[in-house]
Amino acid sequence: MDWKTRVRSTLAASAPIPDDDVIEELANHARAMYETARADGDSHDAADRRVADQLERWRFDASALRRTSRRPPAVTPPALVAASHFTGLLQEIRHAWRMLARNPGFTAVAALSVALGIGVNSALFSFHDAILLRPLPVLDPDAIVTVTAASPDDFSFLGRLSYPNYRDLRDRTQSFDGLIADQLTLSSVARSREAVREMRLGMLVSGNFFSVLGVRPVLGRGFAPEEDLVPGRHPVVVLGYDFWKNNLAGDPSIVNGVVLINGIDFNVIGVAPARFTGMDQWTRPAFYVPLMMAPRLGAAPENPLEERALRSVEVRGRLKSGIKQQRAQAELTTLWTGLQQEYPEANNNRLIAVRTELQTRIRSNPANAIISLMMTVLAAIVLIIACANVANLMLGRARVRSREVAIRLALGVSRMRLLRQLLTESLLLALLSGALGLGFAYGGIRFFSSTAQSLVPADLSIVISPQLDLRVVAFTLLTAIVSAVLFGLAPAWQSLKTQVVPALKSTGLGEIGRQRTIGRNVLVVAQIALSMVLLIAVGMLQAGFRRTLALDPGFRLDHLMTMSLDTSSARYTPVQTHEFYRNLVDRSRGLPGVVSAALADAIPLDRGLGSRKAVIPEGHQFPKGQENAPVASAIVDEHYFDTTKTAILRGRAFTADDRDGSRLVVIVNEVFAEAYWPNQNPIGRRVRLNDSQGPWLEVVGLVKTEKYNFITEPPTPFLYLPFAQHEKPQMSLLVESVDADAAPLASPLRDVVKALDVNQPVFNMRTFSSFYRQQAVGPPLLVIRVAAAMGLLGLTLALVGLYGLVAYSVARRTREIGIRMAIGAERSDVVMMVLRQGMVLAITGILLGGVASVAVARLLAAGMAGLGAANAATYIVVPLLLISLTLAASYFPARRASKVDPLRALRYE
Amino acid sequence: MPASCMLCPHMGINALERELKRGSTEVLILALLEERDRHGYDLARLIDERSGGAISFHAASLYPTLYRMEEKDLIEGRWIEKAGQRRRRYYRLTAAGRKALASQRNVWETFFDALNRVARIRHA
Repeated sequence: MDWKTRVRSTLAASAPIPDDDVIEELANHARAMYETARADGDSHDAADRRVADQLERWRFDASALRRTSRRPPAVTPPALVAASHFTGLLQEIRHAWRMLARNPGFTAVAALSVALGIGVNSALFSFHDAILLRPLPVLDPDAIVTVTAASPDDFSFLGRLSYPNYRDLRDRTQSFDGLIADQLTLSSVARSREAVREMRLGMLVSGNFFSVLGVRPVLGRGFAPEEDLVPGRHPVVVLGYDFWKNNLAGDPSIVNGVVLINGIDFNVIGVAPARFTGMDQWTRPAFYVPLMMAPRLGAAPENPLEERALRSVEVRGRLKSGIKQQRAQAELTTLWTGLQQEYPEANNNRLIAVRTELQTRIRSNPANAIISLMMTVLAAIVLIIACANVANLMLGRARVRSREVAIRLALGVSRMRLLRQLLTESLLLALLSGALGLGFAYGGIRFFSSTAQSLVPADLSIVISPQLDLRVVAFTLLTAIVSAVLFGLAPAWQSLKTQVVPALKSTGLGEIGRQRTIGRNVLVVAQIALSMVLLIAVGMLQAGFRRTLALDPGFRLDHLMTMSLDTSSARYTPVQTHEFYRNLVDRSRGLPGVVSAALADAIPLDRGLGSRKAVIPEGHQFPKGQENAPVASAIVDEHYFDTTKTAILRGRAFTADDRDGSRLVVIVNEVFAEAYWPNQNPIGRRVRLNDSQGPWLEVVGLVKTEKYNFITEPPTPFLYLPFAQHEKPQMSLLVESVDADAAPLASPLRDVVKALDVNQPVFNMRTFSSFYRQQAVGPPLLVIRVAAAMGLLGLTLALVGLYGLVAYSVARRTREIGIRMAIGAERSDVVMMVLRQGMVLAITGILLGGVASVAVARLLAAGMAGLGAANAATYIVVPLLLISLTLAASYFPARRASKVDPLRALRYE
Repeated sequence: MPASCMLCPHMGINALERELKRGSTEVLILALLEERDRHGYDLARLIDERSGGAISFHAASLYPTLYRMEEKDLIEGRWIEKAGQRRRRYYRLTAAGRKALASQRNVWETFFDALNRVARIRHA
């Protein structure tokens, strides 16, 4: 029979019978009585008798058991129940706060340790976020995927599609709410015909661009469907927010006004919102214009939008809700097979792929991803060391805590509740550290953004923007929680294993104490091992960086001024382009203080992957399935090798006779020659460009191998093509000055361009040495500095940990030391004894760390080309450094131990 | 039984006890609820425990008292369900209850004071 029924039947005879909820209340009371009696040791019968007595009394007084209140019996709504849970939590937090406040020294050291660890991680996260992780600034970014069609040997455009292929896929697919296409363009922009033209990065986009991305212009409107149907008909533009704010002073009346892009009047129809910063992490496009304007903007002879083999647009799509990536992939593969059959020439040997934004970013810049991963690992190590410190401090306190815990256990607090209490304390400490860590992160982020921004050219709209935003705060919170678990769980667990009676009785540590010391030793060993790994990594980076600086880039750094021009921005015809560049070089050479001037389509170390050309060297047998090799290339004029002092090893440089219509020629570097014609004279050999139908080019010169893309790159095959036979509108001018510092040439060079065409904008004007610093020295220096800071931090934290442990064990062994000294030990013996303890820990840590760092070194070497193996010096210097520092850290407690007065120590206990 | 029997020692003490108990019930409940919200069994148990069994509160009179106090709006009862537990009726002090507690404490203090001065019950 249940309790309610029993109460009801007892009161059945009385009139009136009490209400249902009174009966329930009495039943609760009866049950509690019974359970308490049983818990107190009563037998079932005895307990039941008590309850029966109580029921009898209720029956006697049944008429008074009535609730006369008119109020309906209230059931507390869930919110209030939650509130009562909340009150419990609040109580626990208050208790935890009291515990932390009671030990301000411990709290400060612990919070600071973890705050440093968290700060490093949060700052790095913001950086990773800026270069890799931050989602596209569009509506529901998770549904956006990229669509690429790359051939296995295609490195150049990372699988861009041609416009006709895009159009066909867009019209046939069922998996997407829309497919968009876009393409970056470098164009001159001016407010009016009279205003100075500036080169800006903008985007050519399909008409559905804004609507598919769910981006609503903050002023005006996006594109109407008909504005992207007819090539060249609708010169309309949506301005980028930053450009509008910074260059047009945020003037709202610009909407319905006009801006000039490459000299064409464009009607401004809208301004993109501030949070829409473009389609990649770097570029902040100044404007968005319909792709259909591409033919007019580029002044291309034929319509690039109708060239099926011209792979120029990046394609993205918004998956229909419920459609998974795999399904879209399957559908597009089918459609693509159809397109391959229809247009085998253009589409052969290409695979279509659907990827998420993150997959795409990692693929397009694996080096960044690897550096990100590496830095994350280093930062995680720092955090682990910091957490180990705090765990160690907490284990040290566990002796005091074990009594508190025992008392509370004796009072009947459940172990689960105690665990919760202890973890609440850790969590509170971690949150405190998180808040402090955000402060450190802020400093780190400021450093990152100023350093990173100085690495990109200032005059284009390229931004690296680590920032302290909600994502970073959320990450910090998460890191704090993880650290709480890292440093809180083990000590909490340890405390819970407390045996009530011995803990209450004993003053010493006994068995539990010894176990704890072992745990603490393990932590310190781990800390030292991890700092060893950190320092080895830093040493490797440092050594690698030194090598980088010592590397011979193969070309001169001083005496050179560079600037870039793009005649398509003034819509020159090929003849005009030819004339313009010929005049430019001639007039520049005529300037006072100028030794020579040369043209190149890109300056060294600034050659994107786009410069790769498909090449078939004469007589070379490719493996089956491969038809050609992608080889990086540059288009240069006849003065280039002389101006940059690139050594010609065999044959000749280009001459004025290598012009359009004459025999096609090419110059290759040593690596190229060695790869395809080993041990042969390359002069007079031939290569084919593009494919088996392409033209033959005769090798006329062999040049020394230089650095082409990165300063750390391995020796790379490379070829040069003469400008006169491969004219293109976008070129850079390299000018050699008489003086080592070429900077004073900037303004006369600008004047030369202005005199030739006032509408021709100049960009990327800089001395080559400053560019080199920016390009080759800056990024590794940033990585090095950050890694070194982390190494230092990790080391400091580990030393604090070691010092704490040795000092603690000295304090614990005061009595033992006293006895030793009383029976004749010398002070020096005591010092040695304590030092030995520190040394054993340090050497164990160093050995373990040495083993671990071999693995880490492999990862590093694989991740950063040119880093190579750590040099032997690193493996000697770091352990020596660690040993001397750990000696120092244990020396102070050792000295204190040697000053122990035997009598006082013995009286103490 | 003659009226003088009221004065017979045994009966006198019983009567005093009864009167005191009845009068003290409310202040005990109010004081316990001042600390925190509690359910009926909790109140009965605490009164028993804290008085060292001297005031063994017969639950027979507890609930009628609670209901009466609720009616007078000194306390407020409500069913509360906690996760994984049976719902229980918790009582809490109302503003009026808080006032009543203060004034009753005053009354009792005056009473004890007077008693003490007359009968030297407490050692001052």
